[in-house]
Amino acid sequence: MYYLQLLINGLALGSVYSIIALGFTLIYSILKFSNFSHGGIMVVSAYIAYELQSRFNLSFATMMVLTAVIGAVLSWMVQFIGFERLRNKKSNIMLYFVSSATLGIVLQNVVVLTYSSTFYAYPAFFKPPFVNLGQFTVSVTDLMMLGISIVVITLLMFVLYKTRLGIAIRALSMDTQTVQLMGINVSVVIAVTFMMSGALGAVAGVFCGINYVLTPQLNQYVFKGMMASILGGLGNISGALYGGLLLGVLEVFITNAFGAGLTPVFTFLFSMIFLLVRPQGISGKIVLDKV
Amino acid sequence: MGYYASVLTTATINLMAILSMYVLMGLTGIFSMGQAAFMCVGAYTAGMLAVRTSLPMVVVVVISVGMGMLSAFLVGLPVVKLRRDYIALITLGFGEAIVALLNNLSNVTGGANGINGIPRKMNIYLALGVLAVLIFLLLNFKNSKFGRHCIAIKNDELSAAAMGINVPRIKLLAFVLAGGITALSGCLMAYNTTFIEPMAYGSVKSIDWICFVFVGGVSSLTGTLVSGLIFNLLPEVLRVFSLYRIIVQGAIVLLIINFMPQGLFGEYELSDLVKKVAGLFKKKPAVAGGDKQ
Repeated sequence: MYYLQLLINGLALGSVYSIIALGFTLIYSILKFSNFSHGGIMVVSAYIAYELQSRFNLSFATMMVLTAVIGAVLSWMVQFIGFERLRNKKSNIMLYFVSSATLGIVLQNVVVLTYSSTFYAYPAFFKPPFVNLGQFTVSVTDLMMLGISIVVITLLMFVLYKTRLGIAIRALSMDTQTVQLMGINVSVVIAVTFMMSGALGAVAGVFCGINYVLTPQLNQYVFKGMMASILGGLGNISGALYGGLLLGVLEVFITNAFGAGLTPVFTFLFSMIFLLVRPQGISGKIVLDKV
Repeated sequence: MGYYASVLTTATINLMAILSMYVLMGLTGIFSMGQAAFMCVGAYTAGMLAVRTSLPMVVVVVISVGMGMLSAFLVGLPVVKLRRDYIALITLGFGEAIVALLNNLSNVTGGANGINGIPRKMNIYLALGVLAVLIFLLLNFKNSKFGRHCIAIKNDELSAAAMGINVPRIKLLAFVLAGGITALSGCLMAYNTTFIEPMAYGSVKSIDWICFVFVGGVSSLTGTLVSGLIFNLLPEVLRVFSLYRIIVQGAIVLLIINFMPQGLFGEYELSDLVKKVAGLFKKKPAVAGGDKQ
């Protein structure tokens, strides 16, 4: 029974990791580079959400929607500043790396300069913080995280697999040139993908802020998303989903057994062994170099 | 030790770490987002040995470099066969894991308090001497068969493999070499600052190093050295703006990447210039003598 309780907590945590990993993987699958600015977008949107909430006393739902929009705009700006010119010049993939890492640090540093490194906390959104479901005690935040993650992921899957835009994005992840020949405006599709990724990042950022505390160090959580996408198979959308859930459950059990401080060590060891045994990830499909 | 000498010593030791980044990115095209963790490994090995034992400094340095190479080998082993991104992400995880480990094993490593009272055995001459040896070795390394293999891998992994280069093996070797160099710089840093703590070796430091290498020119050792020196000394000169350091640095890096993607130096080396000038002087008598070739 105790372990079932842990499992529920792990799934709630894992669903947030899944959202981070999905935002990261969306960019990875179309542009084939690891977007390290994702963490910066998470932090900045979480702080903007806090600012809006404390100024205008918004309801939780309004705040989430607004934050997603802000994250999308922010991500589009990052795309415009960091990658637009590189893409037009068909630059080496290494430059994308450096550009995204730099933008990530700069975004985090903007927050440090504006708010200093002090901790902030969102107001308590849910009045009874815990509910009893049968024999389990579940925090309402966890339930909301799980619920909203399911909604967001369903929405994303719908867009990716049932709409024309989704087909364009998935085609782009296979071959840019052919997509261009088919008459799809690649720039627009890439911009929209960045916006989707930014919205996911913003939602995840707010969750991390609610669940822990609002600090500029929040961008550390993007590493969890990256780990999750490694476990799931880099560049694979459904893999990112499973990887996030696996990582969440794993972390909760490790923390239960060895304490929170050593969790990064054990997650690292686990992912090393996992990569040795199954480098292609859970989903079994990863992006490979083509000639 | 005077102020300038101490600033210069620290900058020199940092330059060594940046050189390891050059081996990874400039030569082999590997991205390591947690390279500072190997500096941490070197620094802690040196710190613990220097405080608890009476081994001579040379032995401690050798052991730390060995530890750095060993950890690089273990980290690199599962990922060298995969795409480059895996190395970047796994090293990131390694960096986090090392910091967490050092913070939590407080009875061995002093936890977040770090290690105090390491004897100060570094001075500017020793630092410059080590750096000079390192540069000499790396220049030769770049022109060796192994170095050329690395450059081939950087330019195109698939075609390098098609030419019969054992890509995972070369990548692993380069990674281990870079780990050793970074550990060396960490070890010397421990002897220089006499105090080490885990939080100083986070991913931000590694990303800084990546930026330095790119500003100087990713394919040029000279460029790496020059931009490393500038970015290490500039914060000392412009102390007033220290708050905005990262933003200014980020702006510079973005401008360079977008408008000068080869970096300041491109592929030019100082030694090329020296050779050219030397060639000018050598050729003249040959032409005058009317050699038939």
